[in-house]
Amino acid sequence: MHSYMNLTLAQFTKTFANKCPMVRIVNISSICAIDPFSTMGVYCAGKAARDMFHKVLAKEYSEDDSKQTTEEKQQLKVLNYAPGPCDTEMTDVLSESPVIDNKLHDYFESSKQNNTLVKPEDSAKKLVELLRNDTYESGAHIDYYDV
Amino acid sequence: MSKSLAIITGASRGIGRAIAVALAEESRVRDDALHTMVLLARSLEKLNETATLVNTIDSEVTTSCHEIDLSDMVTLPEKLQEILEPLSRAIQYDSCLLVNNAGSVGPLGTCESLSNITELQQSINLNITSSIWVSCE
Repeated sequence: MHSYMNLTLAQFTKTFANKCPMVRIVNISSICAIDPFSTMGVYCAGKAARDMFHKVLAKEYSEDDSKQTTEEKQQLKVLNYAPGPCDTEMTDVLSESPVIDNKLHDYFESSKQNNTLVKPEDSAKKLVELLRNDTYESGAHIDYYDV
Repeated sequence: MSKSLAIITGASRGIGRAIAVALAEESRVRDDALHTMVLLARSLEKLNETATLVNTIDSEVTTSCHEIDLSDMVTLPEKLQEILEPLSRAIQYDSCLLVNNAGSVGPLGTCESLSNITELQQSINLNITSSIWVSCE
């Protein structure tokens, strides 16, 4: 069954986990995976689900009995990275939405106006730094503001 | 020389594009440079812009852009296979990175105000189903 699946389907872990000595998966997460935000229920639920799935993926690899050494167990690592409130089209939508929670609307609108949102390039640099150091625990949720 | 691969979903704009650029900057200054960067999103035009930015920073990186709608559950398995399978056969990579970034923010509004189940399903397809599918297999 497993080899049949390998022949018919090709996604990331299945494609690379047994071929590549170092596999890293980053799920772009959000504070919304951890904390509830009014009027963002579907987004929060989606981010929470993604985080948990990637935590399970990390756990399966760390507990894989066929992998004996720490190095083998570290062959695949997963990171849930929350990039912070970045100045992107997504936060444009939030700052302009007529149905979003008032406090959130005011926060995004004033942050846009005052140019105080996180610059995507700054957040991306922090992610690359986390990947370079490779010291995070597999499955961890790490926020831009934690680093 | 070691060969590394990076795949980024939602790489046409926003954080996805910024991560592509940051990986290119890292690649330029590191010995173990990035060999291949694969960029996925719906807009090929914007992906090509990201690829141009990447190659301006590090011309050694092979960029490859693929138009894919990650919210289309019917075509996703086959389309993804078409992208990943040749990658796994072409070169033996020493490290492989997936940045599972694609997502959407809507539908917004209070729980009570949710009224369109198709829109809800589409959001869950993109943000959850597709993200799980891309990572796990």
